Amino acid sequence: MKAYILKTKTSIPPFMDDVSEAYFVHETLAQAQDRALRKYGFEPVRIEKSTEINDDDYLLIFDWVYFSERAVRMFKRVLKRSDPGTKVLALTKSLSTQQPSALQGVVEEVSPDGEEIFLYDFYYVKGTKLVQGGPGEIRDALLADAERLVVPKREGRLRLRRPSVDAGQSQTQSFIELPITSTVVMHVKSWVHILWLNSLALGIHWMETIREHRGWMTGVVLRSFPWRSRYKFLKRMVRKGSNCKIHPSAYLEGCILGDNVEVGANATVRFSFVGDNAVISDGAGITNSVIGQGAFIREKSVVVGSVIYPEATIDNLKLQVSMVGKRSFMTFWFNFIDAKFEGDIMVDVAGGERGPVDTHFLGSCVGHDVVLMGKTLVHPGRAIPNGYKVVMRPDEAISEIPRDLPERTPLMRDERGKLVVFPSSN
Amino acid sequence: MKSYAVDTNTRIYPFNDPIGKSFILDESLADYTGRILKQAGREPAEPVKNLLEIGSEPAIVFFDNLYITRKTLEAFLNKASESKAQKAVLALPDGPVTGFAGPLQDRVVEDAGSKKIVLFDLFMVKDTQVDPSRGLTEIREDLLKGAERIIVEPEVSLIKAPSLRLHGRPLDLDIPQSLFGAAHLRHWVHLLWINRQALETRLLEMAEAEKEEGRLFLFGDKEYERWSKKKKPPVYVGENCNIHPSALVEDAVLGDNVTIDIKGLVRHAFLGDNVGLTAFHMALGSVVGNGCHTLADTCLNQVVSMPHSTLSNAKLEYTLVGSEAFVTTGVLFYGVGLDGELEVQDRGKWVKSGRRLLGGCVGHRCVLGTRAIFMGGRAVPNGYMVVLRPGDGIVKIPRDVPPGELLYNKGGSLSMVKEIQPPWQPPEW
Repeated sequence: MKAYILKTKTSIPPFMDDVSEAYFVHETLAQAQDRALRKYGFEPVRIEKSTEINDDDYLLIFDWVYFSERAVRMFKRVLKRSDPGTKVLALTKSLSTQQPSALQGVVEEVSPDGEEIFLYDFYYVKGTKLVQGGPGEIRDALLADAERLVVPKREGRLRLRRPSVDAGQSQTQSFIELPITSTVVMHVKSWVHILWLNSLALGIHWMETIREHRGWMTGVVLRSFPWRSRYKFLKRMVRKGSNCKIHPSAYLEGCILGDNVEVGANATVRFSFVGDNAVISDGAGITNSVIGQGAFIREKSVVVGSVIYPEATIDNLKLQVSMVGKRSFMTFWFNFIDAKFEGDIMVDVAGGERGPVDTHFLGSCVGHDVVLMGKTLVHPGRAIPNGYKVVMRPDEAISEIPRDLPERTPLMRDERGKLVVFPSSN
Repeated sequence: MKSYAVDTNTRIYPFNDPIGKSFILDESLADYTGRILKQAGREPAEPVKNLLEIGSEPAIVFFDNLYITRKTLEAFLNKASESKAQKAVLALPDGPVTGFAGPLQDRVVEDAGSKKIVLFDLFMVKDTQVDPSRGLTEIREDLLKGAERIIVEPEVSLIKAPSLRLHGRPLDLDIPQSLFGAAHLRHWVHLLWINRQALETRLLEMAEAEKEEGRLFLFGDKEYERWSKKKKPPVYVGENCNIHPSALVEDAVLGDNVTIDIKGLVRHAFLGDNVGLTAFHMALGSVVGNGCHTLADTCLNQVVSMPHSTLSNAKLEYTLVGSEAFVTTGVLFYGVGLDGELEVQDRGKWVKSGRRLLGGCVGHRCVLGTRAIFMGGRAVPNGYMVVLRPGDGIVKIPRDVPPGELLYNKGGSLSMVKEIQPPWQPPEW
């Protein structure tokens, strides 16, 4: 059966790449879609218009939809048991669907069973004539007829301590929960969706890896006997590509490394995915992140919950919940404020809109070929367009140092970046 | 044959010390040169102001700002002794060994067949005919004129230290590992680069000495040896050192009484006597002079620090620090050349340094406080104390602010955001 992927001409700011180029753990969204469909016997075909479809029954998927292999598998299974007719893929409301739901443009409904469900632009079409028009019109027409096919999923939760944002907040609210599931469907319309999708990769990618390498996983479990220490188990949950150079003092846990990866002394890589030819330098710390092919993480840089595109260079004191585009460069003291204590964090969405996200903790997004230097702070939720070069204000750095100032006397920078004697009245 | 060091009156800004006091790992340049002359079987050099003082006896003559390795000196002396020429000058092929610290050296480069050679101010003179009225530059010209170029071929390998990528293109630093090397020291960048090069030379010399004379040096802590199953790079440890079991030390030379605290990381580094590295310290490709002390979580990458300084910087790179200086956490030398080489001041002008990665230079006895941010390539004169601008740091904290109010730093006092005039807020507030 064919799976028609409708090109919606959606560009994701600030990258302005087509949505099919969105980055998910070393592959593009298009590659992930093709892989998942082919695994379960569907033939992906990309189309510009609905009029290109001539089949009687087929899948119709908008190109902004990410779906995991398991989602396809479960949809196919439920489809076989269902009545004939057009269907739309639905997921019940849970942590993995609710948390990233903002700005996705998914339809929320209540099922006949009283469950809250989300509807995604993933359709099985039979017996319904497609309208000609844009994605919105096609969707409206399909939803009018389509049976909601709820795909079952299992979901675990990882509880992580987070800073208390509000004074007086109770202890139970001082945790965030990360969903662990391999049944994921999401609309990708903003950089935050790419970020969240990659954060869900822990569940998706690991489950897919374990299914494909059952023998290896069995070995990990057996070698971790007597199973008293979870760290012993997690330390073995590491897959490395060929020709990796890992310093003996580096600590790897729950991560997947590509080929030719270098990890330096005292570096830590935990629950992360590192692409081919990436370099993690001495003392760097990578946690819950995706590091793209050829990326370079410099000494002592800390990257948490972030996505680093291929060939970027990160030399940052602490980069959290952020994204950095291809070939971009971030220096040590260039910081993203990644917490907002009051009000919503607003982000850019495809189509020029802006909208709030449902989290207090979010950094920013850096486009491709950007250079970020100097001691600078950026408010949460910002997107820096491709090619920007951000430096310090010239007068904020000391550029002129006279040679005749007195020794052992307090000096300071004046408004023009020149060292002068500190005013005695202060 | 006696040796003579011609006084060039070189003083390197911002330190302004006599050139003989320049810092080379754990010695002054004068002491270092004296030591290698002794190892080469020669007497210490006599300082001279001009060639008239040398007389007409054959002599080894060098300018006092010359840095040269022992192997280079020995090779030159052997070859020059066999030469029948009246004068001989040291030449090294233009390559990594001479090029690493090459910029700003006023090098004399000549063609020698299919390759280029660099001439250094080290001569063997068998018959000095000197005009006493000629200055230093002319003396050099006179010595070079007609001198046989004694080419010493260095064996060299390169460490590729990946340092940065801009727009996907690597700006890797190729550091020569060789027992050979020479440089004219006249700028602070030379002290920075030559110390880095000298560190690799010292590691090779110690490895060579160990092979020749049997096991001379202590390796690291026994527990550390058992922990690493692979053959680890060597560590040369002095007397009475105290290395925490969780610290990692590789390819390093440690002097006496060195302390490395918990989770310290020392790779390709030279630590002088009485150096104290506190918790979570990182010293990569760095030279830390005698008596230096670092505070917790300091990171030094390709840094050279002269003796008795205190370093407390989250990440200091490609920087030269003078003696008895204090560099705090937030000090930054903006040392990346986005569009090309960074520039430094030399003889009153801004000139290209030959590097796109270059921090700066901190003079002796400087105190650099928080938010001391410098453009790359700057040199801070001796004794300067740089502090925060008034208003940059919060000094006054009112006690009567209602709970939940957002506050900001207004000229050194905490003030309410809602009182900003004219009113401003980010678009989404």
